[in-house]
Parts: sequence; structure tokens; C-alpha cells
Amino acid sequence: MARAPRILAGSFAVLAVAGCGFEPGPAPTHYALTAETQTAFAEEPSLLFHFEVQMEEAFGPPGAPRYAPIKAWVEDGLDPNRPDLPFGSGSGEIDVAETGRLRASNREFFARQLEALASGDLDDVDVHPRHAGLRAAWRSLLDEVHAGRTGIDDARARGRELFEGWYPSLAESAERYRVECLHCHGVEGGGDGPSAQFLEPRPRDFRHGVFKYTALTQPSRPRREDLLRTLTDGLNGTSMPSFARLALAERHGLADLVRLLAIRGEVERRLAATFADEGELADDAIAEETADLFERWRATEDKVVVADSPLPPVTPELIARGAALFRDATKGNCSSCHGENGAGDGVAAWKVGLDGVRSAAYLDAWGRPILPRDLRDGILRGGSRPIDVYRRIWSGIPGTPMPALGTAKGPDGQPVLSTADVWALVHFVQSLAQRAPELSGKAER
Amino acid sequence: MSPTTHSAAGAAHQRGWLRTWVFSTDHKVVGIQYLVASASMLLFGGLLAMAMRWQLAWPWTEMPILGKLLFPATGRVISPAFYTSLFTMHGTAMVFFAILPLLTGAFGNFLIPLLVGAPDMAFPRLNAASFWILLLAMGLFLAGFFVEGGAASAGWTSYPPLATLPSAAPGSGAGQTLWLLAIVVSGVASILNALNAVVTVVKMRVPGLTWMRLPLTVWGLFVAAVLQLAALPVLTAGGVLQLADRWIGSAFYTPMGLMVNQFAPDTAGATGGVPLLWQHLFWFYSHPAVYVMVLPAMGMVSDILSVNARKPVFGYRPMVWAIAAIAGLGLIVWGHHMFTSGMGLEIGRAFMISTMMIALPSAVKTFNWVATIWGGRIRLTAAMCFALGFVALFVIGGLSGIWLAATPVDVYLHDTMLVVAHFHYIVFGGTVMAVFGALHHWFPKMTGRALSETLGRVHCFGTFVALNCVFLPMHQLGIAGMIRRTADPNVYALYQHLEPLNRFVTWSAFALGAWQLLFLVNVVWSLRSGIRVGRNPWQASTLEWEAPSPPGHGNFDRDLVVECGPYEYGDAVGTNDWRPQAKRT
Amino acid sequence: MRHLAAAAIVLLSAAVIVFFALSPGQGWWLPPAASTIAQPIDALFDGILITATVGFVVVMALLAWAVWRGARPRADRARTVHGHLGLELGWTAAIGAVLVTVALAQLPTWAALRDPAAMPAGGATATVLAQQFAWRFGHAGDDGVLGTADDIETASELVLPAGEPVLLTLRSRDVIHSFFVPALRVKQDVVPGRAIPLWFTIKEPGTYELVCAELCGLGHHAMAGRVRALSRDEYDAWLALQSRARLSTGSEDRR
Repeated sequence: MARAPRILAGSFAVLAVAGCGFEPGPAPTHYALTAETQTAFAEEPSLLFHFEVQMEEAFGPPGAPRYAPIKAWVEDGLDPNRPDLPFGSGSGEIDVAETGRLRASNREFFARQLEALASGDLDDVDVHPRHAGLRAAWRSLLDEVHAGRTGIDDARARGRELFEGWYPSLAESAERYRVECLHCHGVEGGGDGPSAQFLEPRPRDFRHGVFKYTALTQPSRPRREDLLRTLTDGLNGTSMPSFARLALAERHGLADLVRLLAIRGEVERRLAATFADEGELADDAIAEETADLFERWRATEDKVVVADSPLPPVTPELIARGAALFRDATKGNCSSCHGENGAGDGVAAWKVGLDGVRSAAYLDAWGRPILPRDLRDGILRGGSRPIDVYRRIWSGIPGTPMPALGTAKGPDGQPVLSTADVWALVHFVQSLAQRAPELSGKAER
Repeated sequence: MSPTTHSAAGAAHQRGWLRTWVFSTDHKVVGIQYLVASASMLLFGGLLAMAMRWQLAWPWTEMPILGKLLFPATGRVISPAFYTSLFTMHGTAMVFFAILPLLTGAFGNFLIPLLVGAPDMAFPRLNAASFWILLLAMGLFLAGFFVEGGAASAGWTSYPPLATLPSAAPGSGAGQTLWLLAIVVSGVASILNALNAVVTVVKMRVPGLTWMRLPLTVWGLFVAAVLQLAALPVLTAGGVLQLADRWIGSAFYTPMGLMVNQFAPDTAGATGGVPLLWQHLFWFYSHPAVYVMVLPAMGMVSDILSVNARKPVFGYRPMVWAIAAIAGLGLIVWGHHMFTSGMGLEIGRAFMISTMMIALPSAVKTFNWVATIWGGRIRLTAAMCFALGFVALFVIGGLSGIWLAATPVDVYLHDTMLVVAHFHYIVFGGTVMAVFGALHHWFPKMTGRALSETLGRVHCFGTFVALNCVFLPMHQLGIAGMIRRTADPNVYALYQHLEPLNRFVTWSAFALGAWQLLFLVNVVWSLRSGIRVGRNPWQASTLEWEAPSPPGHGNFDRDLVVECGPYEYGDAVGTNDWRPQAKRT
Repeated sequence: MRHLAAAAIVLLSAAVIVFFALSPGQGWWLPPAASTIAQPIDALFDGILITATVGFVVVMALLAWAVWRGARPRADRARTVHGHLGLELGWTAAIGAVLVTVALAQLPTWAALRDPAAMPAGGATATVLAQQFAWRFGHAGDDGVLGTADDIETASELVLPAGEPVLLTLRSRDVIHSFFVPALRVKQDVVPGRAIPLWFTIKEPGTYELVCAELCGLGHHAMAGRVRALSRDEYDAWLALQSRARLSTGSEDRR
């Protein structure tokens, strides 16, 4: 009898140690079609199935998303699956300066591996399974060394390039998305992950192709930099956190994936609408829409909003002028929604029901009630630099009732606001923020 | 009061199954009801822990089998919101609905009257009522899983404003309301139960059973009940205040100017609450609750060690004083949970010193246990194995507490996995081991049959090994800075190299969980086929062994007069190596 | 059986000690210290560890020996010993002395962390605003005053000067968070409704991870930040650069 516990305890220890190599993974899934698409195809279940298969051919499943090659792209030498490579074999989107930043970030991120690579035994270099592609590439290089096909010095150089020049594939980014983003933004990027219901504002639904905070005039799709800013800084005052802890390459990869999800979603929305209207879809409809949308995503160069004059120094007079513009119905007219004092209590933004309950007068592009920002909060989601506020005023906020004042024309055909006017508004908005006074001096005990 | 004598058999036949086992006011039946209910919660809480460990070892990966049922929307992966519910409900289930009722409810009810020679608790109907009230609380608690937003998710400590503002966390809506109701209702149940225990010990001891002749089990249970009476009303009232914040728009815990998920809290004009108020009210009970969870265990372990070492408890009076000192100091150490919440210099010093000092009586008890078995004629029964395991593991849990008492070190270690390791060594390594030991020791008295000794020892050794594999590496995780309550340690580069450790802990946790099936097998098998025992299978001297096994209604079939202390063992006490505490009259 | 019981206790003790001894080599230990307060805190940690190890070994050895000796087959009875006043007083005094020593040893470090007299003079270096699930930081802009419209705001990365005392003012917008930088050995809950001071001195320039250590909701695990310490010169240059960047007209976004 006395032996039994020993044997059991021993076998338990062996099992526990042996089990540490166990690696579970996610269950395979598919991108689901939206309820609207299902409704549009309700009469034709076989066509719906066909459409679903075609969509998966065009964009891949969630575990391995990718753009299926389109004839025009192949002819042009454009490969949107490789945004990191120059035009000809990739999409040519990342310029030399950004490539330098990517390499610097990788050097920091993989410092341990690069150090081991430079000094120690190659077998000491290990890549975390979360970077599956990089891990596989490194292991195959290591196998070559072990098989004697590659010399040590050669392997060091190639290994160094592997880590420094790393840029995640869409599949790797999809894995990162699954871990970091899916719980809020959902598998399809519909802003409907399991945690989304608990968050206010709701996570963005990418499938409309509408993104609120960009540096561009509207309408336009966001630039890669706009998505990167949101990923890096998060959105102040919302549940969107900062992902600065990820390597720059990983953030780029996530921006790539968000673009893919947005394009996939918009293609689906467009084609569902087409089918609802016409009862059929052309064979190359998906490719056509994809190519069109991809072009729109790239056509942002000349849309960046830049102020004509530098920010004037803040003076009480300038703030007073901003306040006047803010309240002037023929100029800014901001107070109609944001209220006389920027508290978000303007009459136009609210409606009162028969039961006397006040609620939001407007819905946003995603069909949810939207209220104007209480500017006293001092929390500006699009960024707190004056130019960020300038751009919000200039080009409005897509998907919301916030209008583009920079391009608005009065009844006389003249622009309602000059650059100086917008700067005055910026100063006024920034003066509204109620900051706690003791922040500057000694903190309370 | 003289004990009423009844025939041992017969009661069950006359009263019918329902009256005997469900709507009974007999303290033994109520005790067993408590035992079954709280052991079920222990099992449930353990399963929640397994799910948490799955997530920590393999974050965001498909959970086999269960994932398909529970999380179809996320690719069979635990969601962050559900994870926060998991540790909240694990902690609450274990503390409020498993360990506390196990000790004060199950053992308190079963043992106190038997050990003081009383026919029942002082207020039998109140006793039954407190169990049914607790059952209601358990129902409210479990209902949390089925409401919108899911179960409470602000941690078992439920700190406001996270817990009080419905927009702050998924479970802070209906789930948190149910959680609060469960805590308040179970508080009422525990207060009633504690009142009963105190009155029984004070008023119903048999003639000759003076205070200094009480077994340490009774001392532990008695002092724990006094602690509950002193501190539990505070938490219960605090819970009512949180309910008020939710229901009538008061703002006891809600400060001005919050903006949570775009919602300003709806406080009906009330402002200026203080989140720290809850922390004080909560820990004013919930730290003493740790002593409620361990003092009875210490008492039972003292009894088991003495009986099985065939030697008196070493230093009976110091042991009693140590229990009293732990309880007294236990009421003034709650602030050590708040060293990082902005506590000032002087008050931090005060709580640090009281916390350091509480280590003293604990250490004294440990040395007394070692001295008790020193030179004893030890029988390594299953109960004894568990009791020895208790001593060894309690030492580890106690020593890691010194780090946490030292304020500057606690600033670093607070809210890390080291805290998790520390209190699991006390509550699992300590209390649960003691509970298993006590079950082996008193099971014959409860049922008339003994648990299998062989299975018991195998269960004990496996549990001892696996438990250390689970909780020892958690010290290292905490020292390396890994915070508790995180759903994904890989978020921080700082923690990524801890992955092998986390996986080892998880495998060990699964083994530990699976190993407990042995105990279930043992109980089921022994209930039907265990060895039938007489009144006193362990040759123990305390009063419960004078009663038949199992005792009938009214417990004792003969009158007792106590004429000596509870631990008369060894070479100087008569012809055998033990002497019963009671003289039969 | 008795061999097994005694062996379990001895093996547990050995495993605990070996495991603790091996852990620093595996990196399963305190992260490299980067603040001036870290040194006394680590020394306290080590001191308590050594004290506790001695106590642990003594108790476990006694326990294992008592079990092994006591559980041997024997016919004689145990001696009836009810206690020994001298022993009780002896170990009470010994343990008490150790605990009092430990308690006294930590007082200066606690004072350095919390004594208002130890707070750096001259106002806050930066403000910290915690919210679900992000860290936001503010530095004084050109006017040199915190809490004005020209503050430099950063998200998730707090830039601080190394080699000199810094004072932070911590605030929360919603629930309780906790500002925890393991390498600096500082942790401070950020309680809404209060502005809480926190001070420390970073020894060397470098980047240190900032962890939210208090449960703050479903995104608690992802509320990560960084503290980047720069030398004074680099720090001043960084501030100047940020102030200039604040005045951007956006032209750098045009490529």
C-alpha cells in the first residue's frame, strides 16, 4: 500500500512536466455575413451560400485573411498583401522613413533575440509563439544551420535581418487581432464582439468604411497614419486603449487588417444592396468593388488638412472672438448643439419625448443615438493638439452630425470661417476645459 | 443543565425522511446540511478556478469541450468580461459560501453541542433558520450568472466605484445587485449562527466543563463566532449602503465628477462619497473573516494532533491565549489591505505594527503544535496526515505574510500573485487541509462508519504534493511582479518569461482538482461500506465520543460530569494511555 | 508510512528552498531595480526572506523529526506533558524580538515613501490621469505651469527625467486604478475623487513598464503603459520638441 501514493505522486509530477509542451489554439471560424445580407438573399439561399463562398475566396477566413489577386493589380505589380514591400512586388505604401522607424522598433522589441544572436549560441534565440510566422522562419533557418547548409556567420546575418526587417503577414496580424481586438470589435470588425455590449461609446464597426478621427477632408477613407494614431494613442475618453506596447510593425499589421475588414465589410454591404435592387450579381462583382474600394483607401494624398497660417498666440481677445463665433448662428453655430458654454446641452442635439424624457435628437452612421461632446471635459478624442481640434472643426466628424465648417459656404458663396476664425474657435474650445487647479501646485495630502 | 437522554435509534423512523433530513432542527442534521451545501460550493468554486487557470496558461485559446458550450461567440475562448466574473465568483463562493459555512456552519453546528455535552444548540429553530437563510443567499449568488451582463465582476472585494456604477463593469448591473443581496443575506445568516454558537458555549456546558477544560476546537469556534458578531454587522451594513447607492441614488461611495463609459453616475443630487469608505467597511470584517476561517481549523487540528500523538496539547493555556490574541489583533489589522490606497505615514505604521504582532501568537501556536507531537506515540491516521499537512503549509503561508506586513515590501507585492499564493496557503493549505482532517476524524461520529484510511492517506499525499505545485510557484510569479486578476499576463513583456511557470501551475491545478475526486469516492464508498465503528474509534477523551455513533436526537444517552481537561493522554493518566474527560453518572 | 510522512515534510522543505534558490537564475524574481527606493525595499525583502528561511527550516526540521521518531513502532506510552512555561516564554520572546526588529527596520523606508516631509519640493513634474483602460499624462508646456491649455499630453508613455526626484499627481476619471512600475518598486492606487501624490527617483535612463495593478473592469489586463526616463538634457530637449510639435499646422502630414 505504501507504494501506491509514491507512484501516483511521481506519475503526477511526470505528467505535469510533460504537459508543459501542450499548445492549444483557437477554433477555426468563418466570417459571418451581416443580417442585412441575409435578408437581401433571403429568397435565394443557394445564392447566399455561393456569395459566402466567394467572399471567403476573396478575403480568406478569419484565421488566414488575404486579398485574392485581382487582374488589374497583377498587371500593375500591386500586391496589397505586402504593404511593407515597394511597388512592383508589394503595395509601396510604406516610405523609407517609416521603414527606418519600423526597423528601430523591431530592434527594441527583439533586443533580447538580437543580443543572443550577436553574442551567444544560436540555439538560445527563441521567438514567442505569438509571432508564429517569425518563429517558423527562424526555426527553419536554425534547421539549415543544424543540417550544415548554412554557416554560423551567414545565419547570424540572415537572422538579424529576419528580426530587424520583420513585418507581420496578414495571418499573423489576424492572430494579434483575435487576441487584442476581437473581444470588442468582433470577428468581422462589426464592433459587436462579446465585450462590445458593455462599452459606451460602442466599438467602431469597420464595415461602413467610416472612421471618425482622421487628418483628411471628407469624404475619404482614413490614411494608414490615422489608424496608427488611434492604435498608438488610443481614443481618449473611450474604452479604446493605447497599443503602444506592441511593436510598430504589429500596429502597422493591425492597420492592414482593419483595412481588409473595412473593405470586406463595405464590399459585402454594397453587393447586398445591389442584389436587393437587381436580384443578381455579376461574376466579378466582388473583385470590382474590392479594386474600387482599395483605390479609395489609397487616394488620400491631397486630402490632408493643413492650416494656412500658424497657431496665433492665445489672448483673451482671441478667446472672446472664438466664443462669439461659437455662438454665432451664421458662423460656427456650434452652440446650437454644444450649448452656449460648450456643455453639450444645445437645443438642436436633444429632443423631448411626450413623456418628458430628454434623449438624443440624432443618430450616428451606425444607427446609435449620439450626443455632442461636453467640451468642459477637456477630453478630445481626436487628439488634443490645436491642429487636431482645427481638423475636427475644419472637416467635421464623419458618421456624426458634426459638420465640416472649413469647407462650408455661406448664402453669399463665401466660406463661413477663415483659418484665423478656426484658430480662434480652437482657442475657445481649449479654454473651456475645466482643469483641476491643484494640479499645478503641491498635491493634496 | 443536565443533558436529556434519548434512545439513539428510532428518531429517524418516527419522524419520516423529510422531517429528519430536510426540515430538521437537530444540530447534527443542520450541520450536515451545511456541510453538503458548502462542500458543493467548494466544488463549484474549484471549477471556476480551473477555468481561470486555463486562461492564464493559454490566454485566449479554445477551451476544450466546455468552450463550445459556454463561449460560442468568441471562438470558444473565455471573454475578458467573463474572466472578471470568474475570479469574482470564485473568491466569493470560496470565502462566503464554502469555507466560512464549512467551519462555522458545518463543524460549528455539529461539534459545539457534542463537545460541550449539550443536547442541541441553544436555539434549534434559529439554527435551522440560519441554514435556510444561507441557502437563500447561495441561490441569490448563483442567480447572478443568469442575469443580463452576467455575474458580478468587480472582484470578491467589490471595490466601488467599479462595483457600484452599472456602467463601470459588465457585472455591476443586476449581477452586482444579486451579489450584494447574497452577501447581506448570508451576513444575517452568519450573525444568527454565531449568536447561537456563543450562547451554546456560554450557557450549555455540562457540569464541570469549565472554560479551561474546553477542547481547543470549541475555543476556536467560539472565538470565531465572537469575531463574527463583532465585525460582520459592519460588512452587512456596508453592503446595505452599497445597495442604497444602487437603488435610491445615494452616494456613500461615489465621489464627485466621475465619468464612466460616458455616463455620469446617477446619484439623485447626492455627491461627495468616498470609495475608500467601502474598503474600510469591507476589510473590517473580511480580514477578521480570515481568522474566522482559520481559528476553528487551528482548534480542530490541535485536537487531532493530540489524540493521534497520544499526548496532551502542549501549552493549553498559551494556546487559548494565542487564539484570543489573534482574534483581538485581528480586529485592528484590516488596514494592511490598503497600504497602497493612499494611506498616510502614521496610520500605515500603526497597521504595520499590529500586523507584525499578529504573527506572534500564530508562531506560538505553531511551536506548540510541534511540541505536542514531540515525543508522542504517533498514529498516522488519515486525519493525522491532514493535520500535519496543515501545520507544514500554515508555516509557509504565515511566513510569506511577513513580506506583506512590511509596508515598503507590501507596496511592491500588493495585488500581485504573491498575495494569491499567501492566502491560498492559509485557506487551502491551512483550512481546507484541516477540514479534510476533521472530516476523517469526525466522520465516524457523523455516520457511524469510518472513512477509508487508505484512500484518505492517498488523497492526503496527492493533495499535499499538488497543492504545493499549484501555490508555491505563485510566490515567484508575484515576486516577478505579475499582478493578480489579469486575464492575459502576456500583455506585459515583463511577464512573458513567466509562461512556463503559469503553465506548470495550471497543470498542477487540474491535477489537484482531479485528485479531489478520490475524496468523493471515499465518502460515497464509506457511507455504504465503511467500517462500522463504536462510540470511540480513536480512543479520544473529549465528550463527543461518549455519545453513540451517530448520536441520536438529544445526543447523549447518559448523564455526564466533566472532571478533567480535554487532553488526558500518555503515561500518567491511568491504566490505558487516555482518560475520558467525563465521569459517567 | 512514517517514512513517507516525514519524507513529505523534508521533501517539501527541500523543494521550497531549492525552488527559491533557483528562481533568481530563471528570472522568476524581482525585476532589475531602477529607482533609489528599490534598494532598501529589496534589502528588506531579502532580509525577511532570510529570516523566514531560518524559521522555516527550524520548524520543518523539528516537525519532520517529531513525526519520524514519534511514528516508529513502539510499545511504551508517550509522556504526559502539559506544557513548559519557560519554553513558552522563551520562544514568545525570541519570535517577538525578531518581529519587532523587522518592524523597526522598515520604518525609514516607509517614511521615504510616504512622509510628506520627504516629498520633493517645487510642485508636480507631471500629472497622471487614469481611465478605463488607458493612462494619460500631462507635462507643463511653454508656460511652465501644469493644468493649462498648453500642457503637453501623452498617452500611455510617461516621460520623466532620470537622476532626480520626480513628483506625480495621480487622478482617476472613473474607477480605482493602480500605478505600478515593478522596476521602480512603486505602486499607488489612483482613487477617484482624490489627487494623490507619488514621488520617486529613477536612477538610470531607460524604459520601464507601467502596470495597472487594481482591477478596473473588463479591460484591466490590457491597461499597459510605459515610463521612459531620459537624462535631464534629453528630457528638456524632449519637452521643447513636444512644445514645438504642439504648434504644428499639420503640414508634416502631407507627403
